[in-house]
Amino acid sequence: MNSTMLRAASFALLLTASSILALGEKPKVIVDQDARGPASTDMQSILMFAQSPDVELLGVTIVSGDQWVREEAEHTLRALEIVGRTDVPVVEGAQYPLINSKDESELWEGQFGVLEFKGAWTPALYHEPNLIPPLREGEPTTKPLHEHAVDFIIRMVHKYPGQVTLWAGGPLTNIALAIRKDPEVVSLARQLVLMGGGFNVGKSGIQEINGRREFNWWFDPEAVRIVMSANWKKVTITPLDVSVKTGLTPELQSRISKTDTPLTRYLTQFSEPSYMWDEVAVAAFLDPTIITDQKELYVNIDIDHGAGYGQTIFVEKGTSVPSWWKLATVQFDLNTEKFYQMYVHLMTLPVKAAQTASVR
Amino acid sequence: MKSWIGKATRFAMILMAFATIALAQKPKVIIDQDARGPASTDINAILMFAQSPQVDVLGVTLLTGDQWVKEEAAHTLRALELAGRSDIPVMMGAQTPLVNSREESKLWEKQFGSFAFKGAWTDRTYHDSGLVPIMPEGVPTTKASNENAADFIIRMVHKYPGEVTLWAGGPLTNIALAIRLDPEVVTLSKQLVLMGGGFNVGKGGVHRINGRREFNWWFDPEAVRIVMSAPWKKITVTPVDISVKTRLSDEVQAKVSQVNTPLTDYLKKYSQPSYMWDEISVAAFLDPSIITEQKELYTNIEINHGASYGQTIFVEKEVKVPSWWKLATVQFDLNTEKFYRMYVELMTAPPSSGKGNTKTD
Amino acid sequence: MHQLNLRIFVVLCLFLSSLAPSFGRTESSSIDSKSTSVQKVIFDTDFSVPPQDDGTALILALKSSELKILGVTTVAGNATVQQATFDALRVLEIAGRTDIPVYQGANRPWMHEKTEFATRVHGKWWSDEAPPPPPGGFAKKLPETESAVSFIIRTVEQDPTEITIIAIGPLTNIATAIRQQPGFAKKVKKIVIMGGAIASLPNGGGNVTPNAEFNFWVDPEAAQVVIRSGIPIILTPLNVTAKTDFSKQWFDEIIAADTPLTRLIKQTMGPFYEKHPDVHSQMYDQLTVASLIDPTLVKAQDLYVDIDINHGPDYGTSLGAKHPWEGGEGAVKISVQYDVDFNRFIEMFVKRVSAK
Repeated sequence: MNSTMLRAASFALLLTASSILALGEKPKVIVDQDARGPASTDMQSILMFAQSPDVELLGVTIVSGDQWVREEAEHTLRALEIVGRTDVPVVEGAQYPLINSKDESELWEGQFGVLEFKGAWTPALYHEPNLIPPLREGEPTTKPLHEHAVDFIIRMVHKYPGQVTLWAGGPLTNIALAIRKDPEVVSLARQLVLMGGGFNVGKSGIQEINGRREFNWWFDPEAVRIVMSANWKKVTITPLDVSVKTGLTPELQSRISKTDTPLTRYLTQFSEPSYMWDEVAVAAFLDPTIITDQKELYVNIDIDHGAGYGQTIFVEKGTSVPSWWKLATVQFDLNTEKFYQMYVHLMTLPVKAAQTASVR
Repeated sequence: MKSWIGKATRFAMILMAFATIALAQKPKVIIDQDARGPASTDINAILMFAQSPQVDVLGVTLLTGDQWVKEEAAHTLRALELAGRSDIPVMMGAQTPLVNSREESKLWEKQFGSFAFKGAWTDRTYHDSGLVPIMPEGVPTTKASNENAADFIIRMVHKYPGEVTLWAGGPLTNIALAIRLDPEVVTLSKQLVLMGGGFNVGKGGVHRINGRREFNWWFDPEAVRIVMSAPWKKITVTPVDISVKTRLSDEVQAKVSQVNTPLTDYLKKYSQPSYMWDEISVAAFLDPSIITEQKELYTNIEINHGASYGQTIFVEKEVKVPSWWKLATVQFDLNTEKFYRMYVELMTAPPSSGKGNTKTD
Repeated sequence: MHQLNLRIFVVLCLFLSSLAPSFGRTESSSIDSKSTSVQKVIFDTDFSVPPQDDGTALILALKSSELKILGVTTVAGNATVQQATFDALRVLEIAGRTDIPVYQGANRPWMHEKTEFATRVHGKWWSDEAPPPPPGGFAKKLPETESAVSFIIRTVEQDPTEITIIAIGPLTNIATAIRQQPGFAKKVKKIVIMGGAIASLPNGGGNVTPNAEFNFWVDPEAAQVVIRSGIPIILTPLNVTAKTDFSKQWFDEIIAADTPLTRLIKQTMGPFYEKHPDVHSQMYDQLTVASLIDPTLVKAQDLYVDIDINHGPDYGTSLGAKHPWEGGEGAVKISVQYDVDFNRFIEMFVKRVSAK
């Protein structure tokens, strides 16, 4: 081997090594989502992860919440096709919360007042769980993984011990089931990052002015109790308090529409103005500097089936509490401009050429 | 000469007539209070009413909350003496809440975290209910009435049907007992005005950052459920959300200290910086224009003895709710400058300014 | 027999007889030992004329010289408080006991709101409808103007540790007195309560919801306040009333005597037994009163008891156990009756109720 070849070889080696290193440095993420489609805050958060070159998206696990799990899986498969990320497995999870139910919610409403939004149980939108209404954005050709979300989560954290971030944008049913099935999930996972709960905000609750009854957490309170009482290395929460400081306005959407990709076309066609609940949680994960105010609090949920059912409960750090209360880092404010810029940037990146689904 | 006397007499009679009419028109108020003393937000509220020429204070009914009812009575009597208003009767009421108890609160804290403040049950300051600790402001010479607070309320609303405002600055035990003893109290009262509850505020709760567990309502949630589910003609709520927008700062206190009366002297010596919880509620009653934002909401309280025990619950006016939910006008913001001015004005007025023909026999 | 043997024999007999279980030996405090002096009582009731059990319970009390009834206080429960008041006045009139004043009390429980279930299942505590005339028309005498709670507080305050309260309806009045008057609880001698059902003992099911007994279920918060008040309590729960049995047989015996009160009983219960001669009923309130008059009629034990006041499926359920339990840290030790010598009880009951 002459010196040029030697240099080339060592350079190649270096490249490979650094790319392996780079690949090793990319945080591994499982996105657990109640992925309402098309183009909701749920879907947009998945797409931000899918578009980001800075994460290794291991898979998207789906849970009933905003919609039923089966239809959500279809919407997710289609969205991932559109951005050329069919390499990311979509895994169906829990169809129902642990304890809460449509029937119970109706009894509760009879006593405490009608809830404005109940996800898949909202009377105006209600349909049978296994029914998949036609997809306006086109039917997917890919299929979900032949594995339950809970098993997928367990498998991944064992495969990559200490590396996997569980990022949750919907009810916590899958994660609760996972940690009850395999308690090691808690210590093997790198951290838990989630959008959910509300503290002292008078908007966006499922009875609008009560931000403590936030939809994700209300849909499955018992799951939240299980998950928030577990011994994660780190818990980060994006609550309604910060969500309501953002807005996917027509103006913001038009910034995206200026670029033309299959993704931007999809968003232009199907996005609706709304708070950017889940997008904030993704952005803050990708770039924590967008968060300008956060607090460490003991955070959990009320599971008595009375007036407070499904409401966030919390106390300050420094209060004497029994051991089932755990500290979480709760985000309260953000740099909206920086956030919108990141959002626009990710959504206007070129989509990847279609890839074959990799075997996992 | 004769015509002079005639004119003077007639003038005096007209004056008296006006005074009587004015007196008759002065709103009648019962102050129901957990009057921690000396010089707390509780006592200040009583003093504002006592000093105001605009209201006819029928009496002060007391109950345990911030302190035990017995010591509160001593502090209240003394404060009224200093304000030259010993004509206002003081009645003692409930010593404990309907259901909540110090023991239960300790069990609860073991599960859900310890409170910063528990009124008379706070460990740091705890003492027997019958003990009246040393009173730096002096011991009163006047005494509390023999009549029970709830009985007084019942008697007054029957005596003045449709005229009496029940103003509550503490837990609602007395009022709950009164309306369970005599349901007509609800329809005979003119209205219910109270400081209590919290909605979406991250300060001022018994766990500081949880404004929904506000002390007055947390101390006796069952009483709140009884009171807030009753069909009052009108309910006005001054919650923690607005309290924390005010402060009895050194600056405000300095303005009060500029004038020299036994009352201002007392305040100068014993006032502490604090949110002006109860004072806002009084001020807004005397002059509703200080309130710059308010909402009509269905307001009540959680009475299941779990994680949310004692927390305010509320829904918007438009929501379909069963009949035990009642609408309340909830105050959310105020003109602080106007409010501080009113406070200073009232507190620096000469004692006995509020005195009228308070007959309560 | 040798004298020594005789002595030994006598001692042995005494020893053996002391081992035999007997009614009246309780595992609880001496608060219910048979008293020989007259007991001053306040009779708190959600009254209606017979066949409601309060009806004959009051008659039993009236016919018992061991009790001096200072006043009857009424509460909403089985009937509206208005009906309770006027039915009680009428029965007192028939009994020739218009010397006993009647004080009207709470027209509703503290917290429990009217529900469709409540209107179906039993009782009129959720209603304020005008009372129907009692048999024979309204009594001439009116109720006192003083309220029940006021009377209860005044009576106990004036005679501390001397007054026994008989509570055979929801506990609303008693709880209100406790909360309105500081120190009241310490001054009550004792309270005998018809209420509750202890699930962990035999016959512990409820009679209105699966686990709850009616009196406690109507006002669970008041029940909890009274149970936890520190007043010495004797509880007559469904567990023991299940061992009572009133039937036509006893009705016939009672009306065989001819008194104004038995004539009332015949009038109000006769037609029912004509149609349903085989019906058996429990004697809830009657046993409560009888066990106060003669505690040897029942067996009782001390248990930690609490009331579930969460508004869920067990609202109003009483829970009892020998030892405290998780979640039941507020439970308080009281005396709970669990067995009765029915033969002696019914004999005493029939005799007194039919007495002139």
